[in-house]
Amino acid sequence: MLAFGFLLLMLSGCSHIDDNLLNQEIGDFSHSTVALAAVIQNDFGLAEKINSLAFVNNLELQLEAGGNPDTTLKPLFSGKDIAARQALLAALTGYAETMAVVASGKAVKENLPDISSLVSNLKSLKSEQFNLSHSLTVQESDDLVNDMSLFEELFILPARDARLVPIVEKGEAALKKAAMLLYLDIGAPEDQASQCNYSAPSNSTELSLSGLKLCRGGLRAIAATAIHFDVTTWKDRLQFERAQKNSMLATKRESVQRLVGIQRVGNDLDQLYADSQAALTVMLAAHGEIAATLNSAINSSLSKSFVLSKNALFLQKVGALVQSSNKVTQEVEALASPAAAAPSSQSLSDSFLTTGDDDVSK
Amino acid sequence: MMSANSYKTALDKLLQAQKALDDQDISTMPADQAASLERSKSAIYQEIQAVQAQAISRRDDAYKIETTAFAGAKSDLESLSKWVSARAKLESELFSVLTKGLSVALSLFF
Repeated sequence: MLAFGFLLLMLSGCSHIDDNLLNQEIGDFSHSTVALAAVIQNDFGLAEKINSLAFVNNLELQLEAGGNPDTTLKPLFSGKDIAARQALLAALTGYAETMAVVASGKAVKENLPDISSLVSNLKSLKSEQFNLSHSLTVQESDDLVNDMSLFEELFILPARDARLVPIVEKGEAALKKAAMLLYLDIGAPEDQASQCNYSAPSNSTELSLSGLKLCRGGLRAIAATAIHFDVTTWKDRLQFERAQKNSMLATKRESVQRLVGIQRVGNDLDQLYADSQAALTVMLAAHGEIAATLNSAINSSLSKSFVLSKNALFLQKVGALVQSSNKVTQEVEALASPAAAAPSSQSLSDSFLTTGDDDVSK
Repeated sequence: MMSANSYKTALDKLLQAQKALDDQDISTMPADQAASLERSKSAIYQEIQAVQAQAISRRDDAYKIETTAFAGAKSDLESLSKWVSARAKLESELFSVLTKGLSVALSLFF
């Protein structure tokens, strides 16, 4: 009852909508966004695992051929690059959780005590910590990263201003820019515009995500390059084994399975990345729908039993994405330790799919 | 280490060299040369990852080698190139693509 009354107050006394339903919808949106952020964080981790795997497989082949390999692994992402992405995803998660806390009538500071630390982390973001420059100019990249300051305005609102409608109105712009940054950072495995041969395409950060034309680059290109390297290492291993008189059939069979396995993982991984980008688009549509619903509620034009179809689609898409992410993660871990291909203990929580639990483990 | 190539040219050459080295059947090579080839391929892979991460606005800038692995690969590539050239005289059909690929990779050091 307290939450019901509080929500009525926040919606300027509008009393003819189902506030419990709206509260549930906002809770679903928040839950989906938190899960999506966890998937995207895992997306980058998977590319790093593939890089390590490819490096080790090539190193082992060199050793078996009697070589003297360089054993220094070069990670794809530096500590600062990883921290920058974590800060951005934390801002996304923080915003979504703020929406849910405010909608439920609770105080932000008590329920989200670490919200102020998100602000300082966002201030230190730099465009070179992300992979944007394959499709944006340097100035556009800098501007997009600087736009993350829009979240700061939301996180430092005084308690009296922590109301749902203004938060969602301001959040629309911040969310769009964050989604665009992540979409570009995930990138494309191939050029989507002919002018990529000589310059960045004309991408405005005011475009919708689907309107962007990307050049090859970002996480998808990085992962594809790592996959390619591992595929060729396994092809070479088969050739090497063919030349060895004592090579056992079982060894060759395993090499064939690993060769086919890494190609399959490569396809599944790129599909996961593409689906992560699609989920960002659906997230923006769902948020826009919530914003429009809140505006209708204020203007008393909202019917009692409204339907947020885009939010429902977002929930469904993220549910499927979490399953896909867990599957690909298990496939990658099976490649790294084929003798112990057990399900990963670090899979994203499938409880998202059934109980609506917000605790998405990493 | 500076070269006469731009970043765009360097990436094109790295991909061209990678393809040529990938196309080589290592069962036609003795183990020590095969190991050297694999080490070169690892170095080229790391350099490709580093160069393709460069901003599109740098494509016309003068290329400099980005990774220590590739910087250290020059001697491997040169000795492979000598070995392959000698074999190519006898078995050109087995090594002609690799000969060209090694030449392209070595051009990135000048």
